[in-house]
Amino acid sequence: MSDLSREINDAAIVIKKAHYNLAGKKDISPTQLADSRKYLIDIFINLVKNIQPEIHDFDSEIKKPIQLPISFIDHVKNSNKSEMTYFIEDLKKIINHLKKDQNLSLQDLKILDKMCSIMDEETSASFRKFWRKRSI
Amino acid sequence: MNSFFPSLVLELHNRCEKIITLLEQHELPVEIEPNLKNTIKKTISIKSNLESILADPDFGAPELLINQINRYKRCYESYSVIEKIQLPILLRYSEKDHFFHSFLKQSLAQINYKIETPLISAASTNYYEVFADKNPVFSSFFVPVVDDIFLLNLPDLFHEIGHLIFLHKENEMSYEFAIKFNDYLSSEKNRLKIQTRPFEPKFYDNLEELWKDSWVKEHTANMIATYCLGPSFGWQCLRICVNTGEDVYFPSKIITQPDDHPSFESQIQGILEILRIMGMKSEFSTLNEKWNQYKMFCHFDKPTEHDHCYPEYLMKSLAENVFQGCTKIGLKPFVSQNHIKGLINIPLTLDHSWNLFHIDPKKFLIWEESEVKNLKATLSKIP
Repeated sequence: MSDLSREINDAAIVIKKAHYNLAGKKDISPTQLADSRKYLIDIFINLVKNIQPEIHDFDSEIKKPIQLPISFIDHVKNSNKSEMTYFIEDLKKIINHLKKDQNLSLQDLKILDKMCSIMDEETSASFRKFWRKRSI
Repeated sequence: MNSFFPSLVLELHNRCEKIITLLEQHELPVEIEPNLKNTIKKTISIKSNLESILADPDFGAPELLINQINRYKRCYESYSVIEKIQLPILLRYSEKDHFFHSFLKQSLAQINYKIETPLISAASTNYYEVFADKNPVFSSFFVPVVDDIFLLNLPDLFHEIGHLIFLHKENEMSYEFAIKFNDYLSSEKNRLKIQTRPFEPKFYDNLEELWKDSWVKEHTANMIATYCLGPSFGWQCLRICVNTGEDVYFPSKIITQPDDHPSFESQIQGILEILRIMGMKSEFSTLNEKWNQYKMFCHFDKPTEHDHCYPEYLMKSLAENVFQGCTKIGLKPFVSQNHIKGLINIPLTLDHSWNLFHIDPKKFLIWEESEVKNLKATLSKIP
């Protein structure tokens, strides 16, 4: 989970640097930006498929499913339980914006940050659990 | 957070720097040089990551602060594994560790699992355990401090080796089982919808989490150990069960009693299944008989939930999968082990230890003392 968390977070940093036009944007190569975009698209598509398997919008794009941790998927589901339909729509929007290289909306950035935070919380939790197990 | 966070990054960077110097100046036996080099390499990589956080022109930018803190946390987690696991072994490497290093190296060679020898420390406060990493030289085993002078516990080291093998070869060991297990859960959950069942849906959610999180690993590690050692692993499992006094059917009412380890009943059934597949009929019968006697004497009551937690056909499926997996990756089964003059065959020695223990415990204690000396003398000659 640690590697996945690191990869999602690093891709988000690249996307946000470019979006906010921060000083470090000049150090990001076009390939790096494209790779980060592609990586996050894959993550979000797999997330949509895991939350609602009956959605087939992106089936042709799933070349190799990314194994997202069950705890991460459950956490995302629970955080959006009351507004799942809207959340899925928001995920579809960010996927499309990333695909078309369009500017991300405030809602897109909110979702991106939320996903990074959930992944971070789950990684920290599994890390704490690892040490607890060892101290039995 | 704006000033506190950079200080944290700086402090962790300083720790990495100091540890790298400490390790580079520390003299260690040549046998653990690969492990030492790898730990230094890993610490250097964490240090570089921290440097890239510090050198980022956007370091501390409010828009990125949360992501930068996340990056720092991952660095800290990697660092703390080095500080708490690798460093104590490397900085306090002892004669006992040296013995266990040779023992582990020989064990891995004799079961034909070709990897660089992981670190091993004889200073466990938590019985046998492994910190398994995808990279073998970064994996670390911990064993009890006195187990270099006794033989009967040693099969448990092979259970920990089983955990390492599972991490490296999960698909080979449990892919077919995982499909059957998912089918089982789906069909049980569907039955809940159409007919009255004694369980809540939550029961199966917990069951799924426990199996996927830990039980499949524990059972697989047991089965790999049995594949490599034969019945001696089963006897050691029975001994642990008696020593801990655990109800053999615990856990099965999993909603209120979660546990990382599956029930001893299911563990022994898994071990027996591997013995059966390997064609060890008489060993199967003897262990099975003793196990049934133990359950009878202690009057354990089997809860209804037990068979739903560990269905027999799934246990058999996992055993078949693990057996095929072990064969596929070329592990040497216990039944193919043979003595070579001048060498100590560890699986056969452990088997002989348990046989002697059953036949004449007093004689075994005398024999054990001399056999340990013999083992140490033989292993000390191996480079």
